[in-house]
Amino acid sequence: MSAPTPTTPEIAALELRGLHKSFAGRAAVSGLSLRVQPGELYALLGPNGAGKTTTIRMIAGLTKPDSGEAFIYGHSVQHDAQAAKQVLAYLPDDPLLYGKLSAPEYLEFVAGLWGMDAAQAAPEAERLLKWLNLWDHRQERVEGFSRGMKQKLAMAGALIHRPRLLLLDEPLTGLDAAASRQVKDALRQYVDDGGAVVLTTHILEVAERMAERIGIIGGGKLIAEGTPEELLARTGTQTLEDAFLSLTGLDVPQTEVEVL
Amino acid sequence: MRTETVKASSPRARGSKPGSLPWLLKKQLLWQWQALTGGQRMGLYTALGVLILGVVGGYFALRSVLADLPLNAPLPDVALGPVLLAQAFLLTLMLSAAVRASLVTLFTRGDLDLLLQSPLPPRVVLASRALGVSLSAALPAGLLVVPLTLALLVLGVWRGGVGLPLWWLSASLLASSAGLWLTLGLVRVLGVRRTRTASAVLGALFGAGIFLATQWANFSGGRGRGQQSNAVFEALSSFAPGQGGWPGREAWLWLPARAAWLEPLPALLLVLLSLAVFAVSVLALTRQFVNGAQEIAAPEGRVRHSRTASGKLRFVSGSRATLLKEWRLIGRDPELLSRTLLQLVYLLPLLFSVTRGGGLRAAGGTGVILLTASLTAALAHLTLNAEDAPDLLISAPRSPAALRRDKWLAAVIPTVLIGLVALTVLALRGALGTSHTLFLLPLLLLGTGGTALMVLWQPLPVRRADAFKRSQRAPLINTVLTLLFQGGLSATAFAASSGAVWGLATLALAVIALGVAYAMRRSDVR
Repeated sequence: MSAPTPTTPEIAALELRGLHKSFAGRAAVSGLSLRVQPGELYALLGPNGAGKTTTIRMIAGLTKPDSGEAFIYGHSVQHDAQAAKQVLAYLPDDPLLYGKLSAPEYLEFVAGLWGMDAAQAAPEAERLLKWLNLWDHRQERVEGFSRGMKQKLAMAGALIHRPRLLLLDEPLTGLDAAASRQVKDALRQYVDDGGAVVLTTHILEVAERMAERIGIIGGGKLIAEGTPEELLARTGTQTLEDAFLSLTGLDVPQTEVEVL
Repeated sequence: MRTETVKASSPRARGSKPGSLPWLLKKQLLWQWQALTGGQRMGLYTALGVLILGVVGGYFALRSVLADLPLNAPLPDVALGPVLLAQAFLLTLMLSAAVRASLVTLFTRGDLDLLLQSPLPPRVVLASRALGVSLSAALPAGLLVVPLTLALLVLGVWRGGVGLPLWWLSASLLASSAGLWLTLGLVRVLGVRRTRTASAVLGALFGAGIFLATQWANFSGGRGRGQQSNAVFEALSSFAPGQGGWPGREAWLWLPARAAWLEPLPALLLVLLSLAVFAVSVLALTRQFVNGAQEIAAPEGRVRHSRTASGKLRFVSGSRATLLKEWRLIGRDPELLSRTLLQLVYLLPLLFSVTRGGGLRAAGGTGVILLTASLTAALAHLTLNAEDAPDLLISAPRSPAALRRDKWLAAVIPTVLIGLVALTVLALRGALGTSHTLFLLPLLLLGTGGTALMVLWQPLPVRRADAFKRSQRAPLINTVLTLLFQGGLSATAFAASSGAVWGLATLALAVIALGVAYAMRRSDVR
């Protein structure tokens, strides 16, 4: 994966300051603050309904926060959206694609949205399609793609304009083992080259093996943050799964386990 | 790990046994009712209101018609023909509804995966779905049959009051059986997705064909209308047992009409026949149903290719990428394309009525302005409103205003080109004078551009697949303003053919309508 443009280390790739969002009077995200540095993969974990997707959508500018602010490389998502979005790519968990287009046509449109020059976008699209094993399917319409192929195409769309911050909501959903490995390697390379990644995942093993830091949110609040080792030490547990369950209060009582 | 058998803690539910056909049917009917009424109590009240109005209307309509008939005796020969024709019309409606419902009920995934992986026999699943199709088939005709039945009962005509609903239910079973055979046959030949498209396109063509047939008088300019009516009346009056070469009363042909008036043998035969056909259809089609359902879960058998170059990729950038994307999406969707173009068919009778007597000069110019503006409205609805990946657009740095402009252009450019070609052809054929053509050019640009702007100013986001659903229509005020704008411009084009000054007034009306739409534009597009 190509290296993002180097950045000055003092500017955070992502900074959230007291983000707050309520739906129908119920707080989905409550005063969330965090920083992600360039060259860092940050995993956002939390139980269902914890506010992970709402947070990601607020960072991507898709949901307006009630209060607080998000900054991407120093650009406010709320007040300087265009500059912030220029360096950002967002990959939702269930990406919506255009079924009647082919994969190159989809990438052509996405590149156009990010203002890429056609002469620069075409070879980049070719490279991504080959890398993600979609090149042989370039003449087929997306509506005939499997879920995994669609996920890979969405990933190509997210990467084509060489973003400096990647927001990934459950990026490994629907991918087979090989594709999953491919994406994980690519993310690692991307981060090593100076890019920043914020991802949500339910696969704790992925977070444990890939993330420099992990943020655990519950009830819309950041309840713990640190490296995997720090979280284990803080909870006195042996695995990230145990640490996660302990921090989120989702420990299954022993009596229930017995019944099962 | 210890396993326990879960026992229902609540008292045994009253009614049908879980997993049985009546149980599944009950659920299916409940879901269909919820889908029909949107889960609102208002839906029930509306249905009751329509029913009461229908009964009152039916009572007064039937009172005079039935005065000359022996009410509690079999239908006389003279009445069998009209009744049979009415039944044929209703059966056509039912069959059309049954095909549509079959596709949705049998092959919309939803709960289908759950049902087919459950221990319920596929036959039971198909039977419950087929009965749901029967209900869907019965509904359109029911709007007429139910109030008529109630009105007949109020009038004390028990033969019709019992026979008519009996025929209706039997006919709906037969229609749904035919719909199932037709749908599953098409699915076998074309596959589920293509059948869906073919059914939608054919349905739209069928509707447009019926509409144009009913408007034949407008096209023919009213000449010979009386003669045509007489010929039709003579043909209808000879459609009776033993007349005009038709078989006698005892023939199978008249059985449905006699059954509807509760003649015992025909009624019994019809009910038994419909039940037998329905049961045989369900038993015979179960395997095909399961195969079809498995097909929709699998990737499409035949891969649809686009015209992407097989060698190196060549891209365009900026606005051109958006324009290409919009045109590709519309051009590759036969269903949307046919629905878009068929909207124009419904304008043709109006155009011929209005321009009758003005010759090609008036019809041509007015038609180009009216049809291009209407086509623009449909295209703009697709390009501006029907966006399948709105999150992608919002998360992109391209300004929303630039995107809206590109999508507006995607709707306007094709229709302006079509309009220019049409005006050029008309001018070259001598149907339009040079000055008239030059006057129509700005009207063409104003009509297409203005119509697309009106769509842009009142966005109505919708999934592309739902673009032409009735529930997705724009608010009434938008429709009125659009009609005033397009009507005003068309009237100006018509007036220009004869140099009438009143055309300026209609032009002013159109501009005012556009101004009002601009003033009422949504805050997020300001």
